[in-house]
Formats: sequence, structure tokens, C-alpha cells
Amino acid sequence: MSEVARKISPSRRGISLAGFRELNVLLAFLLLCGYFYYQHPDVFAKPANLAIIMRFVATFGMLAIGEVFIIITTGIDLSVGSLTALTGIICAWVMLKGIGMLGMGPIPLVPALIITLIIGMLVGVWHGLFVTKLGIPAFIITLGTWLIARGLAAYITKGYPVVFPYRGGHETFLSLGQGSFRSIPYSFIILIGIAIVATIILNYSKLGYRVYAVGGNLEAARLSGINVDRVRIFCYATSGFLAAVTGILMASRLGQGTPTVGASYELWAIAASVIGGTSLFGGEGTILGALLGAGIVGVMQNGMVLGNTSSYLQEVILGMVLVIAVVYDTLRRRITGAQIRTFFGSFSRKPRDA
Amino acid sequence: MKRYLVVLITIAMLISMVPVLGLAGAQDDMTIVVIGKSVHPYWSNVELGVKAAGEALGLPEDQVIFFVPPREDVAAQIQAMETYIAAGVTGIAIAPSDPAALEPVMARAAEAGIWVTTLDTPPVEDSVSTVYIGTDNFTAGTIAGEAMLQLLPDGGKVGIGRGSDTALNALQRTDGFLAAIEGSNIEALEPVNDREDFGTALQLANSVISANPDLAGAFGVYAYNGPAWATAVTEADMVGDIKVVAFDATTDHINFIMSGAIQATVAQREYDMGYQSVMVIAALAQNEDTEAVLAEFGAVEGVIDTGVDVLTPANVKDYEAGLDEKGVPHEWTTADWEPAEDAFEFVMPEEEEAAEMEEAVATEEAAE
Repeated sequence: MSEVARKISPSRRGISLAGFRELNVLLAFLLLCGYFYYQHPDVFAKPANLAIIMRFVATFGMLAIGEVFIIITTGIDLSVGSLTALTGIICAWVMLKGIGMLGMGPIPLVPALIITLIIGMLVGVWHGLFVTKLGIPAFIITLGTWLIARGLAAYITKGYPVVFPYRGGHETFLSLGQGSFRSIPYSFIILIGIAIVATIILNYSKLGYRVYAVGGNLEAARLSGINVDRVRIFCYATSGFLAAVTGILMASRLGQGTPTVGASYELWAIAASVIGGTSLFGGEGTILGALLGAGIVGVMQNGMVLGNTSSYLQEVILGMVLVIAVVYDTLRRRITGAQIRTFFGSFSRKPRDA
Repeated sequence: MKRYLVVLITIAMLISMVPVLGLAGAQDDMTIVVIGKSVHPYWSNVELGVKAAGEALGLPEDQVIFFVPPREDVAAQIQAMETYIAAGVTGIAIAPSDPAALEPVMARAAEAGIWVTTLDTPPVEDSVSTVYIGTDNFTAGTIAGEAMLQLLPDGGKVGIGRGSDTALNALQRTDGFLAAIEGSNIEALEPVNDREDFGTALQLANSVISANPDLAGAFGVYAYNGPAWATAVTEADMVGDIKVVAFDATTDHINFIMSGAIQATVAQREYDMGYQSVMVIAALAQNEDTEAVLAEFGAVEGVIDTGVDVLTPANVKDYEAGLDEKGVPHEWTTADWEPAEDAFEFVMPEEEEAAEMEEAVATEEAAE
């Protein structure tokens, strides 16, 4: 990497600015938790209830991590919800019915997981190739997959869920999504593991540096010798991979691969990452922020059910939270750090001038 | 580049014309179309009924057509109707996703001399639809409410999970359920809406159970809502303490009935709806006297009621035997399972009312 590249993304990935921004999201998250705890003290903080929220975050946080990678590079991935349904069905299908095309019978757990993850990743690579090599907008190509994956999920299953049979000996697989370690769901532990790896990649590796560089200024990054196509394909592959992880966990949790999951998950994932401070203009965003964003949505959804809020109203409230987050983010961007310093500086200087 | 585009569009247009041309060729004979709502096990069963009726009538496969859009989509249904009107088919049976929106195009079909009937969802009042075949969602909802009443004689809090706050079938089922429990000690919580997503449905079911430690029952409006409640009840270790009433009978419904997490599920006879729709149109097209045909099929005031099955641990084995008799395939089996001695048994309201009336008459007579 050349010196130019290092200069492209000043402080955008560093802890300094990012830490400050996540603090806001963290405060909002804690405030919300405090509010619902105050409203329902005997229910909200029960381990069983916290596990419910963790399971929510495990699903949408996982997808939001993928979105963060892509949105940083000014792309978007609309396919992850449909892909969750499709990969869940593929996983259940190969474990229960085998691969008909190759004349293979039901295959064991580990190869089934590997096949599913590879398929998810390949779909991501496919998106990346279209975006980079053909210059097709990410919005369009992933919208195509959104339709294709949803359609395939319905076509393969004819609408029937692929159900793991009652006492059918798939307990290991089912425990992935259903089991928990001292009331912390395994799926949440898996999410934390993936989030740590993703944070290390984004903040402490050359690759992560390039991801932010590509998002900050694509042309500058290209001129400085970064293989921008490869970086972007990596981001799409990550998102596809994580959609497959979500699909597997979902199939395990529900005890079936079913086409009736994943509806508009992509929107919740995008909402979570945006609430968490990822900029749709690219170049900015962190994993921790996205997880907190997913946490905010999860706590709100749980809290509104605890309060027996009308479901008509729930969506209105969630929508308003999203709008507030985006407006806040935009305003914050206008008031840059330099302006804040000038603002405070003016107080300290005035007396001396006078 | 442009030239390729033109070629592509031409090919696309040719492909889209193929079914129409195919139909036009078969016009001498009878062509019957059944239009469903969405890709769903429910509609797959309707399709089985449609195909079985086609076979029973000895019609070739391409003259008994079953069409569904991938998701509920009024525009797609209208477009399909227009295509089949242009093709000049014999009759169309449609399950209108929005009866009011579909009525004009149904009227156009009727004007073109095509038999129009409805299934699954009743049409608007004074519709051109010759007959409606099915059990409407409101009635099915009241039967689910009746099952809940029988399960919770002492009342209690009941959670409701559904996939939409606006789709007619969700509203009608909920309203029917609420109408049935009105005046009882059962208190219905606000319905939770999962936007037609099984994962979210489970999430919400978990939250409702967590929020209401005294929850006595749960009602699942859409097919997956029942299994979602059952999973959540199982996770909360409250199987049997929270009574679950569901809709439809898929593999996981039966699994949960066997495990004891679902006490009752209302299954519409969708196979019969498909079968009857084709049979009625065929009969209408071959006979002069419409009224006689309808009477023969047992229509009352323009409705052929296909009824519902209420599956409980007590009768699920009989239900399986019934399906096997019709040749409806199912992945599950109750072979290695026996219901508990005190398993819940549902009594149909009419039968119950009849029994009550008899009792009342008997008491009156005794009093006299």
C-alpha cells in the first residue's frame, strides 16, 4: 500500500472518532434498557427475557455485520433476507433429503454446514463480480438475488417447510440455534465470535484499511494501487457468508428450513447498521455500532410486547426511531469536529481578546 | 447492445404468448382454471385437489390449470384473469386476494361467457361468481375461538400471533376468534404481528410468554404461528400449561400435537375446495340447469360449505386415515404414537348447541 492510501481515510476507522460515535449509540441503548427495566422490573431483566433479546440480536446483528462491510464501500445488499431463507432450506434439505442431482442421500452435519456456507459465500462473490466487473449497481443485482432466492426457496419446497422429524436424531444441529450456555444462547455466542473477528479485520488489518479506503474515495484508492475490485468482492462474499450463517442458525432454531423466514430482514439489518452509525455515503461504520443498533431494535421490539403495545403502533414507533437515527447522523456529520473545537475555542479566547 | 435488447424482448414476448396459444388450440374442449393466492402448502393441497378432479373428469393435464402468484398479489391475479379471459377458457375458479379489486375483471370474464366461481375467500355481495366454495376465515376463526373456550373453561389471558395487521384472512380469523370468546372470561392480548416471518413469530411468542407469566392460552392465526407458539411454550417449559390453538395441519403441527404442545388446530379442507371447484365448473358447463347443478353439489344460498377439521390429540389418527383414503400425501405419521387417555377432544359448536338444546327441551319437559 502506498502512502497516498494511508492518507485517504483520516480518522475514519480509528478508535478516536469511532469511539465517540458509538458512545451515543451505547447511551441510547442503555437508556432504552433502563426505561423498559423501570416499566417492567420483574420481567425485563429475567435471564429468559434477556435471552430473547440476545437471539434477536444474533439474527439481525449477524446480517448487519455483513451490511456494514458493504455499506462502508458505498454498496448495499438487499438479498440477505431471502438468502437466509434459501440457505436455511438448502441446509435442512441436504441433511434430510440429500442432493438429488448427484444422487446422494442425506449427508452429515459438518459437510452440510460447509456446503451451505460455501453457497452463501459464492452468491456474495457473484454480487461482487457484477458490481465490480460489470459496474451494475449493487442495489439492482442484490435486488435480483432477493427475488431469485425468495423464488427458489418457494420453488424448491413448493411452500412446504422441510421439517426435522420429531425425535429424528438431529439434536446436535438443532442445539446450534436452540441451545444455550447458562441462558446465553449459542447463536449469540457465535455472533460475538464473528463480531470479534470482523472487528479485527476492519480495524487492525491491511484488508480492513483498504475497505475503509475504498469507501472513502474509490478512485483515490484505485490510483494508490489498491485492488479495489478484490476488496469489494470480499465485502459481498462476507455478507453472503453471514447470511448463510444466519440461515443455518434460523433453520436450527425453527427445526425446519422454511420459505417463510427472512421477510424484510435486509431492511432490519440495514436499519441496525444505520442506527449504529454506519453512513450510507460510505467510508464510515463499525461492527460494535451495528450490534448496538440491532440491540436497540431488539430491546424496543421486546419492550413493546412486554407493554402489550398495539402491533399497528409498534411499526410506527420503530420507523420513527430509524428516522431519528438518520437525521441525527446527518446533523452530526454537518457539525464536524473542527467546528466543535472552534465553538468551544471561542469561549476560551473571547475573554483574552477583550 | 440495442439489437440484443430487441431480440431479448421479442423472445420474452414469444414465451409469454405460448400458454395463450396453447389454450386457444384446446378451445373445442373444456379448459378449467383455478387461481390461488400464493406459494404455500395450503395452495399445493388445493392444486392436488384440482389435479385429482381433472383426472376424475378425464381431462388432459393442460386443460386443468392451476395458477398461483409467488406471494399474495392482487395485480398478478388480475393479470392472470385477463390472460385466461383472452384465451377463452371454459371456467375460472378464483380465490380473490382482494374480492373488491377482483370483481370487475371477474365481471368481464362472466360477460365473455366464462363460468366464474370463487373458492377459499368469499366474493363481494352480488358478485358475478356463480357459487362460493369453501369455509370462510371468519367462521374458521370462530371455531378456533370455540376450541379455546373448551380448553379454557375458567378463562385466562390469551396471546394472538399473526402475520399481518391488514390482510383480510388474518383480520377475519382474528375477528372470528374474538367474536367466539366475547363474553367469556378469556382476555385476549393485543395481537402481535410478525410480518409473515416464522423467525419473528417465534421471537414475539417468546416475548409474550415472558411478559405474561400467567398466560393461559395462545392462538396462532397463520400456519406457522401455531408451531411458533408451540416452540416458545416448549422452550419456556410450559407444555400443557399454555393451551395452543392453531390453524392448518402441516408436518410440524402434527409433531406438536403428538408432543402435546398444540391442543387443537383448525384445518380447512383446501383439497376439497380445489376438487369441488373443478367439478362444479365442469358440471355447470355441461348442463343447462344451473340451479339443479348447484343443488346437486349441496349449495345453500350460493355457498358450498367445505367445512373444517379440528385436529386434536384425540382424532389425529382418524384424520390421517381420512387423508390416506383420499390419497393426499403427508410427510408425517402417527403410527408409533398413541394419544393420552385424557387427550383433549373438540366438540363442534352445532353439535354442542344441539346437545344443549336437547338438554334444555328435556329439562323443560321434565318441568312440565
